[in-house]
Order: sequence, then C-alpha cells, then structure tokens
Amino acid sequence: MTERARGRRMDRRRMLDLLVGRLAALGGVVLILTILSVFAVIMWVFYPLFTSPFTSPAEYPWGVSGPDGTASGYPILPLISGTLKGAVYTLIFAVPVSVLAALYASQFLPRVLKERLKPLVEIMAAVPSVVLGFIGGVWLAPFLASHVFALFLAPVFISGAVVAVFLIRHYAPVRFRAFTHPGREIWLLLVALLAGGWLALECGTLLEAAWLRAGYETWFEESLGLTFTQRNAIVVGMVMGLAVTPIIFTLSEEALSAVPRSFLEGSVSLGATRWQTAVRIVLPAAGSGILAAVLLGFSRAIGETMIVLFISGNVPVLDWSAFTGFRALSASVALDLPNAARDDTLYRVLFFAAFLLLVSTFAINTVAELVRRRLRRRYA
Amino acid sequence: MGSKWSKDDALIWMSGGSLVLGFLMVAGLILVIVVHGLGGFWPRELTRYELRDGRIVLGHEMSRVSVRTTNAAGGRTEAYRLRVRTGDRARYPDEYIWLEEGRVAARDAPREAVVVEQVRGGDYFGFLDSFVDDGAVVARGYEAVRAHYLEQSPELERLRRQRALSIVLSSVDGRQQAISLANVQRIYAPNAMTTWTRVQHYLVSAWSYLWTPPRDDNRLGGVYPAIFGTAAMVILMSIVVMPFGVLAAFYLREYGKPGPFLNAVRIAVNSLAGVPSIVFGVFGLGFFVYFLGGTLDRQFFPADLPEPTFGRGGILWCALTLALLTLPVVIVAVEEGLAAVPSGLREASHALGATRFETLWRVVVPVVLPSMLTGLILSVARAAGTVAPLMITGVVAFSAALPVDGAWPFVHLEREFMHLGYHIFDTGFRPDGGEASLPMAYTSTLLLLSIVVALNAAAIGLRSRLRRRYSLAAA
Repeated sequence: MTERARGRRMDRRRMLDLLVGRLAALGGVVLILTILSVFAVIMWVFYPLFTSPFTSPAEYPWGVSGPDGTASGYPILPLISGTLKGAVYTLIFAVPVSVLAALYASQFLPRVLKERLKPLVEIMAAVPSVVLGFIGGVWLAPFLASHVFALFLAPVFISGAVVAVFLIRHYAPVRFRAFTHPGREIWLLLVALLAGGWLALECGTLLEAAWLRAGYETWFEESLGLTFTQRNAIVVGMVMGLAVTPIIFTLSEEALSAVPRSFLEGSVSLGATRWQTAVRIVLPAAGSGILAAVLLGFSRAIGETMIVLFISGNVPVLDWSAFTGFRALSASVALDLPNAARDDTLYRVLFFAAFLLLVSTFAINTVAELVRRRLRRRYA
Repeated sequence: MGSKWSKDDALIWMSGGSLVLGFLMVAGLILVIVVHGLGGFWPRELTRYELRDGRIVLGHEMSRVSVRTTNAAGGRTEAYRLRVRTGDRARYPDEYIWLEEGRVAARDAPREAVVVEQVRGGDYFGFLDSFVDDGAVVARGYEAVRAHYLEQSPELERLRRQRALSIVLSSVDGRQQAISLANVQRIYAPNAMTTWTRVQHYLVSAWSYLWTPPRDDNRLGGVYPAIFGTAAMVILMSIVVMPFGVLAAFYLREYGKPGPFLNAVRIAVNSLAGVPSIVFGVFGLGFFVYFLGGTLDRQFFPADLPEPTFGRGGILWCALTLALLTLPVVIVAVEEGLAAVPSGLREASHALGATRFETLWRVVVPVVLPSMLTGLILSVARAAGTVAPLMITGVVAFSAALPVDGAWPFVHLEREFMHLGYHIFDTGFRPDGGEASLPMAYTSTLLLLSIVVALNAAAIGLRSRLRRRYSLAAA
C-alpha cells in the first residue's frame, strides 16, 4: 500500500469517526429539543386564554359559580384540589408502608433475601396503571364499600396479629421455634397478616350485624353526617399507593443502605439496640434521601391518570373527605380532550391543565434531584 | 423460656410486616385478576328460577349479595339478592336482572337449556325447538335439532351462504324466536356437559378469544385486533425509539465531552423521564396530530381536505408519542450497559490505533448488544401498558380495519387502531350496565398483565446474566 492510499484510508476512518460523533450529538440535541418543545407547544396552545377577552361568562375557563351555586364554564380549581387530594391520600398510605419496609429491608433483612426481593419490586413497579386502576375500581372499591368496618379494624388487628405471632414465637421453647434464621420471620409475618386481615373481616361482619340497619351510605349519613361513595379517596390512596410504593421503597432503601457502616458500628458499640440504631441514627442520616423518594412518589401520584380515572369517580368537588371521590386534572384531560374541538376554549383549558401537571411534576422532580445530589455528596 | 421480650424487637417485626403487606396486597389483586380472568371461558351452569309470582327466568347466576333492611318495628332482616344474566334482550334489555332470593320458589338446571352465541346481538339462552330449512321444519325437539345442527356444522360456512337455514328457539317462558344459522357462532348446552367437554369448550373459547375480532360492542368475542394493534404500534415505536435512544446513550457515555451541553442533555433525559404520561399525550395531540399531521395534509392530501388524513389521531402519532415516553427507558438501559464495559477493553483498542468509532463498533457494541435488547424489551413493556396518552392521540374502542392489511399501501399509518390497554378501559369503565362487559375486561387485564410481567421478567433475567458475566470478567 502506498503512503497516499494509506493516508486516504486514514482520512476516511477519521471522517467516519467524526460523523458518528456528530450523529450522537444530534441524538442529544433531539432530546433537548423534545423537552423544550413539550413546554413550548403546550404553552403556545393555552396562551390565548390569557390574552383574549372573554365574550361571555360561560366561556370563562376557570368556572364561575352562579348565584344558585352552579358552576358554568370549565372549573379548574376543583380539579387542582382533586389532584392534590388524590396525591395526599396516596402518600398517607404509601409513605409509612414503603419507608418502614425500606428500613426493614436495608437494616434487618439478610443480603441474600434482599437480592431476591429486588426483581419482585421491579415487577411490582412494572404493573401497568390501567391494570391497577381496573382492579381497584371494579373489584376493590365495591369490596371495601361493603366491608368498611373491617377496613377500620384492619390496621389494629393486623398490628395485633404481628405482635401476637412475635410473642408466641418468643416464648415458645427453643426447639419449637420455627424459622429461626434471620429474615425467615417473613413467613411468620405472612401468616400474621393473613390472620389479622381475616379476623378484621369476621369482626367487621359482626359489627355490621349489630350496628348497620341499612347500607353503609345510610350509616355514614345518620351516624357521622358524612357522604359516602363507593369510589372514594381511600381506595384511590390504597391503589395509587401500591403504584408509588416501589418508587419510594427503592429510593429510600438506596438512601438507607448508603449510610456508612461506621455510623451503625458506633451506635451499636455505645449500647444502642438494632432498632434504636435504625430509627435514631440511620433514618435521620438518610432523611434527605427519603424525602427525595417521597417527593418523587408525590409527583408520580400527581401525574397518574388511569388509576384516578377508574377509581376516583370523576366528580369535581372541593371537599377533602376520605369517603368521597374527586376529579383530577389528569383524568379530566383524558376524558374531555378527545371531545374538545381544536382551538376551542375547552381545548385550551385542558392544555392549561396539562401544563399545570407538567410544571408541578417538573418542579417537584427537580427539588427531589437536588436533595438527592446533596445526600450523595455528603456520603461520597 | 426465652428472656423478657423487648419492645424494639417487636417494632422490627412491625416494620417487616409493612414489607410483607405491600407484597401481599399486590399479590392479592393479581390473584383476583388471575381467578376472574381465567374463569371467563368456563361454561357456567344455566339455572331455571321459578318465582312465586309465576314468572320463570333462565340465566347464569353471576353473584349473590346480602341486603339488610329494617322494618317498621325496628327489626332487622337479612335477605339475599341474585344477580342473574338472562341472555334474553327481547324481554330484559339490560340482560342483567336482580332476583330476590326469597321470591324464588324453585330452581333447577335443565339439561336441555342451550346458549346460542350469535354473531350479532349477544348470547341467547333458551331451548331448541325446531330446525327450519327454507321455511320447512325438518327437525323438532332437542335431540333432533341438536343432531341436525351437529350434522351440518362441519360445512356450516358453506350452508350459511346457500340456504336460509334457521333454528327456532323457545325461551324459558314459551316465547319463540328464530335465529338464522348465518347468525349462529356456536351452540352449547352447559348443563349437559361433562368435565372433559367443558375443558374442550374452555380451550376453544380461549383460542378464539385470541384470534377473533370482538362481537356485540366488545362485550363478547375476541381481542385479535387489539393484540394486533398493540403489537403494530409497539413495533413502530421501537423503530423510532431505538436509534435515538442508543445514539443519545452513546453521546452521554462515549462521545460527549464534559461541559454545559452534556449537562443539558442529561437534564433533558431526567426531565423527560419525569413527565406524566398524559402530558405526552397532550403534546402529541398538539404537535404530532394537529401541527405535523395538519401540515402533511396540506402538503400531500389537499384533495381530501377538510377531511383530515393525518390530521387526526392515528397509529403513527401514538407510536411517536410513546417513543418520547420510552426514550429515557432505552437510554438508561444502554447507558448501564456502556458503564459496565471494562475500560481496559476500550483502552486496548485505542492503543492498537482504532478510532473512537471503530472501538465503539467493533469492541463496545458487541458487548452492549444485550443491554440494548434489555432496553428494547423494557420500553416495549412500558409502551404496551401505557394507555392514557393514547386515549387522545388515536386509539379507538372498536375498529374493523387493522393498521396493516392487504390493501395498498399495506401499512396504514394514519389509521386509528385498537389497543389492549384501551380495551380494558373501554370494557371495564362503562357508566351504566357495565357488568356485561366485565368478564371480557378481566380476561384482557390478565392478558396484558401477563405480557408486561413476562417482558419485564425477561429483561431482568437478561440483565442479571449480563451482570454475572461482567463480575466474572472483572474477577
């Protein structure tokens, strides 16, 4: 091969390298343009809402309450309130469960079991929200609506059953103790939970026989003065809680496991028990990581559509009662946008609703990311 | 006896309990889906209820609920009500009725009661009366009609077209109804079935669920167009998302120089991952459907305007919308693969004089191919389960036309299509009289859940095999 031919070949190789480099950079540019255009297109569509004078009150997009209390236009305030209501009830259910579970998994579960747990959590996170929404709306909501007393009793009975199983195992003679390996208590816990749940159902039925004269709707109306609907915030909280639990659990577990071992060793050597160490040393040390996890769960709950669509009942209300439904921004967009004519007021208002979702989740995610980074720097 | 128990150990158990609780609830809900979903094809018994007021009802008992009432004296009574599917829309338009159990005088399961699955008009429950051939009765009575029908059924398709064959059925209270054989999908007598014929019936029903289009407003029949539509959309999406995702990951890990632009790309990926799916749908409607689609229409299909061709929801716009949604999934998976490639490999390649591209193509890409596959599988699983953005960018509850067929140009990117997830929404979320479509919704939910879980399990398995290999290589 001559010098020149080799040089030309070298050039071609460099050209190709350069070309692919540019192409990869183009991939990056497309990404940046995408996220910018998501913001730009949505703002472009709803912007005229803020410039055009409204011709009649009926077109007023935020909804005008008339003298008789009826709303005209497209009331967006109840939707914002509904979205927040759903997200807050979700956190009420998801945060205790997932943070406690993460604490247990990171501090008390043997490594082998923890590794086996991970794929399960991942599968849990992958369950499509339409599946959760469907089963929550069609099966769980009617089931809970006919077992309200059992629902109230369940937390007490289940905790009681866990303590009972713990005590029985503790006082049992050593040779009868089942599952003595650390972490194997999970099977006993499973039994305790099932027993507690079953007991709550049975006692709930007894209470129903004693107190309930007609259905639960009447009981709530007469005894508590509350409205009760089958599709209510509790069911949304539980099902959407299950949807965000894998997120909060995984990120919290990560943060808790990242706490340096020296913290634990110091605490235990000073005489603290394992639980004291976990709660007073490890939990505060991972606090900001857990906060970030909770924030990400919150933002996921705000944007979640199919679950609220199926379970929330989709009635716009302003109240925050646990026993009534609500209507969320996301569900409104999904339900009404297919029927909105292009460039209509409704069309623009729904784009504004989507913008609210976009901006709020973006803001929450950014804060969560900043909090996480601070944590990572601290223990790096 | 053990030592005195400590409160702290009990609290540890409580925290373990919350871990188990989370799994137990998900497992419980999945169990409900599996039981209902698998039970949908099993032939239910047909029961004849004789009521005290003389009415007679034939139907499937779907559920039994307790009702509490208080009488004037304050005494409480508990009664049961039956939800019965009557299969008789002529008399009960909603098909489903409530029966007070206290008013049922007698009930039995007549062996000769049959279910007629109709092509149009849902299922009919009744008794075989006679077989009519061009106006002439050729058979009368259950056994004769049944024998006649079975005799014809191998060449039913041909006979349907040739002659005016019909079956006359009598309802449980004696009204007669003729059903043309052309409209008969299948006839079976559930009460006369043996376990083996029930199993056969079950398998045939499950098979036809997968391979036939829906009947009767999605309440009966199959989901073939929904499976086809989901697959077509997901394939389209993969074609778009894979090149961009892989390129972006290459940029982030291999080509990008640290600096503000690289940071901006990283922030863009993170932001994209956090955008709610419904917002992508809104963007897809505003940008893809109305802006891009509208422009395409003006440029290439001006003759059809104002009737839009691309300027309305369609499979292409759905695929592009979901490509945006799954872009971060691909990027993260490929990036993880790139990060795991030992730097010694790259350095050795560079040391031998290879350019960055040659190193990438010959050394890095073969190693990260499984990671790309993982990314592809995960993004497909995500796309198959996402419904919300599709609702506003071109999914429909029923469509007779498939997005790919024999008519020129074979692939119809502008067509609206059916999607398995949206099928669940359509059949599971009907404001009034929705229970007729619920068995279908349960089955579709089970199908979608199995697909998504299988895909994720495959991705997880692939990734863990990969990790083991790297850890061995590093050791």
